[in-house]
Amino acid sequence: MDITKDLVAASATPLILSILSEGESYGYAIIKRVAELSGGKMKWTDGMLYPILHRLEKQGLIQSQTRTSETSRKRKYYYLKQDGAKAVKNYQNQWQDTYATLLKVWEDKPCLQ
Amino acid sequence: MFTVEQAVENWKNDLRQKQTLMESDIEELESHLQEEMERLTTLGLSEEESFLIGVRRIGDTTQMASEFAKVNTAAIWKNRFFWMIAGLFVSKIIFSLSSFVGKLSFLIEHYFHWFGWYGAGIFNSVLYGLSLILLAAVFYFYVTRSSFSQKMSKFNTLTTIISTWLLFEIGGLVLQMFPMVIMTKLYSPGQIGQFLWGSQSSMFAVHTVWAVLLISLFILLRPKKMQNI
Repeated sequence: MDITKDLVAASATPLILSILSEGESYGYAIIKRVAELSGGKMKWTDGMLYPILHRLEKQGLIQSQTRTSETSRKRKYYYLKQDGAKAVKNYQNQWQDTYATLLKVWEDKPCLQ
Repeated sequence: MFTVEQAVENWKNDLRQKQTLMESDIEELESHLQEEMERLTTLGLSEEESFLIGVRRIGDTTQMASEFAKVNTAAIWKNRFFWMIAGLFVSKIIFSLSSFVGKLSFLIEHYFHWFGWYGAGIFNSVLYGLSLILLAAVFYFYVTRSSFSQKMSKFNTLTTIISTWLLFEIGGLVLQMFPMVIMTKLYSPGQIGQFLWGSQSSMFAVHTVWAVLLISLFILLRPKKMQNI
């Protein structure tokens, strides 16, 4: 089953920041990476990525640089700033706590399976 | 006949019309679309098919425009403010030029003696009104061409705005004063008075027509759908 819209929206920011923590990237490649990581279960509307990237840039978590690629295409590359790396850590803790909470309930009640 | 270039251009124009995306946003999205189309064509899809799928994946333009509006608020208001200022300048120059053209009626009367001074005053209003409409139409068609937006983007520093404003203000003053100076040199206050009386008493008609035209244009050009920002 595909992941619901609400969860996609909630995980978008941590996911983007985490992908950028692997190294600089640009819009199209980020979308491809998300599809790859989620095995296609996370369906993004491609265009919606860009307003999020621009918001993160405004918040000072990431920074961008327009460069011309080897195929002479202009691309805007984004990379993580120090505050962004801190935010990734923060998100990691929160998501792990959320997951751990759910896991506890599920483990306690095996009948749910 | 479908051409990708035209289709992409139309799509970009659709985004431009939303007015909430900056030109750099559109460029970034276009680069995304091109890359996706390239990938799809190597998979064996036709150019048209890859365009349609690429656009579909990027998403609904209206929805995207409202997302971009949340990020671009300051830039959008700056953009609108500049258009407002540009509108002020343009109206200034249109009114000055029309007033200058209207005053030509004085010269015509001077050489041909067609209407008498009072009649020449009315003729002044007619010429003024006609050139007002003509100039406004010319400016309208000039502004709605897409190349104008690109020129406008250079018009964004305080210095250029102030110097343009001064230039237009002085130019307008010269255009309005010059004919009056010539008039007072050539004719008596009585004749000029008759001319001015004629023009002022008929000016209300010009202003009524002008107002009706502006209102109908406003109704005609209103957006079909409300845009939420």
